[in-house]
Amino acid sequence: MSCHEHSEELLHRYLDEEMSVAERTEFEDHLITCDQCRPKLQGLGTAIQSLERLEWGKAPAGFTEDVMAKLAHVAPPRRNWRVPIMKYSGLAAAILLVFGLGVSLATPNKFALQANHTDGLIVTDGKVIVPEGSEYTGDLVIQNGDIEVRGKVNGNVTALNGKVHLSRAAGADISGEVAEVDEAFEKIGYYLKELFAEFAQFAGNEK
Amino acid sequence: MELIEQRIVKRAQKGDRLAFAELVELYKDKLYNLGYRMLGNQQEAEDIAQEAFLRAYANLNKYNAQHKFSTWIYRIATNLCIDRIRKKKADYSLDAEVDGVEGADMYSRLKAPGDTPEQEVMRREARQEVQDAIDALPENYRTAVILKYLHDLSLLEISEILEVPVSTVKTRIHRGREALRTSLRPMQEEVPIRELP
Repeated sequence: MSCHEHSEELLHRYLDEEMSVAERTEFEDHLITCDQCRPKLQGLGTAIQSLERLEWGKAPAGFTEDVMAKLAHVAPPRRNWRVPIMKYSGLAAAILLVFGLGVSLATPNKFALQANHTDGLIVTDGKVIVPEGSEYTGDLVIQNGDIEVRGKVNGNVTALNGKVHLSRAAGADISGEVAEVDEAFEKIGYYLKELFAEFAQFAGNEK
Repeated sequence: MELIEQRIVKRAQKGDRLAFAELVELYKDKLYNLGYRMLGNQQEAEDIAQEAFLRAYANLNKYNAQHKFSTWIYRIATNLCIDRIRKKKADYSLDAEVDGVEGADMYSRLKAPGDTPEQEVMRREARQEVQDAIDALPENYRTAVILKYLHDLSLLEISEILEVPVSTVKTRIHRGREALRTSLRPMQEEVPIRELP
């Protein structure tokens, strides 16, 4: 058997008792004659023995008490699904409150109309009228006032703190969404929707 | 044994501190010895064993009973040891300051009763030589060799602790043994000059 190529691997397999009987006999015969493998095997055996002879010490006295004392300040581990919800519900309430406050402060108390243009609209104090037979294209948002639609609106109509009157008899028609937002809670929802729409638009522009 | 252990772990997972204390009692010597051989001194061995238990406690709900508890706790401890070794290396290379007096040697408490002072010194030197040889091993080989020969763990268990294939564990043990053989070679036995291939 040649000693040069696989001797290392064979030595380890021999030490780990991974050889078949035939292989082992063959390798032992080789060991007797090989002056390279024999000292190596002895050296490995010595190394293993010195490892196995190392003492097994004991953890210092009071070790467990020390660990337990340190654990006294650590909350016991729990699988508890309520914890995260409880933890964040306060935060969520706070955000909602601040946002609500912001909305109520930002909302004007006076009558106002938000529109692309006022062509063809009759705007009086506290009321907006889309006259019979006219056609308005664009979105209309009325704050603290009512809107009376007799003609056609190609867009959304929203009344914040007000009513949307639709005279179907006069042939009125609104192609978009109609919304009356009165309650503070609904208002928050409305502004959130607006905000998201703006974000979406912003993100779209970025692209 | 393992069944009893699993029951203790379950109690500990439900928040029973006494059950956790039982686990500490069961494993403290194992982790302490692991730390001692990996890091080479008592103070660090104690620190690392403590930290391993604290981590285990904090992550007890992540322990999965499909594996042995011993595998899990050994994994935590070996990872801490390896981190510590790497950090020490980095610190050392940064300011190259030689450590002062390391903690008293564990052997000072373990001397054999009948030894003369000379015999004791020789014993200590021989053991220190082995520990020095272990300290000189790369941490991957060191871990594998210590788990196998000092903790008497199977290749499979070691592979689960280190999260590497069994074949890798084998290679690390072989290389580790080889390195120890070279560094522990008695002075008189000189290496025959290796022929060039």
